[in-house]
Amino acid sequence: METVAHWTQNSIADFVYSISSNFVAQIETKIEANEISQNEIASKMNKTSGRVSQLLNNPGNLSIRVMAELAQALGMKVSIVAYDDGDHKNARGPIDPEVFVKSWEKLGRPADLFEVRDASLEVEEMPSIAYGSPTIQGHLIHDSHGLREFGYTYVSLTKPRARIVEPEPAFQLFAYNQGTLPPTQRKQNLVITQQPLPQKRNAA
Amino acid sequence: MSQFSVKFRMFGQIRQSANRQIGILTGMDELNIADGITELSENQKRELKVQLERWVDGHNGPKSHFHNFEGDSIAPMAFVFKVYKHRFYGYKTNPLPRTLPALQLIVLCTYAIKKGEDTDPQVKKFIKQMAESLDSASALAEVFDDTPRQTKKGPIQWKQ
Repeated sequence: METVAHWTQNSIADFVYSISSNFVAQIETKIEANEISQNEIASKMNKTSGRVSQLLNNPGNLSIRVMAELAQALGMKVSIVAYDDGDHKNARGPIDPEVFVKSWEKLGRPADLFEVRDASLEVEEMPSIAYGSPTIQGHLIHDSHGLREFGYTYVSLTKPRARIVEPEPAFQLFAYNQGTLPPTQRKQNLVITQQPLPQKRNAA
Repeated sequence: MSQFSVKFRMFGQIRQSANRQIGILTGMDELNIADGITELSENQKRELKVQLERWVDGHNGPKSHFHNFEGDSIAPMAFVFKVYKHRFYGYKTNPLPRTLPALQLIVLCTYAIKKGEDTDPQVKKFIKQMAESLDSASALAEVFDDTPRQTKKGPIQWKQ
């Protein structure tokens, strides 16, 4: 099947517009959620309300300096992130910046690479997965590198999705309350981790 | 080939996902989304595509850009994308309730210029009419096949 090019593939101006407009949407979401007036922002930026409105309505013309000013006026920061998502033909366009924000928040908002390393085990909410009766419900742990697959008796969990597997128990289910967990993992009341089942005895 | 005048096609050149997708109904004068897009400037066209993709990516706002009409007495299934004074209306549905129950599809139907704070009731009635129309359903069915397919391994056998 022929792949239809993403619209940001047409020109660099399209690509720039997409990332700038997504930035503005993040700002507008914050404004809407916190019920901040444009006058307040304008005052903090030392600009007129009309100028702020103009900036938000013309995402394609935003400079990095203005982005930083807008973010700071809302108590936020800006980072510019380059990444390789394997989509070298740009069939899907830029990844939504909120994906990076949510991922960072899920890691416990690490401030440096050491904190990223230390937050290698992450707790994530998981929808309930029905397997006969009763419904299995809980949270999954995955490592931040996505290298390991955690599983338990009936369900294999592969970041970020879950799938049903053959009922060959490779792991058993253990639940801990949050008091036994290190700080980086104390995010949910119940955490599921895995341990190998005892080896079956070989026939003599 | 559809025997109906109403046609459905996916919105081109934007990201679509297994969770959320966006398409357009055409084939009647009132189904004027394409006309609306031609009214937009270059940057406004870009803005529309950004907002469509933000919804596809899982966002539910800000409301200044798009929102549903949950609780609306006329058309609770309606949805609108806003680009400055331009409004692109449609309805939210799932054309694959059996095979992909989590799918959300927005079917864009009609375009209007914002005239007041509230959406014109006539627009909402038209959206409702399209959402409930058999012609729309037939047009969608030509793109979305909701026939469950049996895998080679057969259906999942739940262990009792």
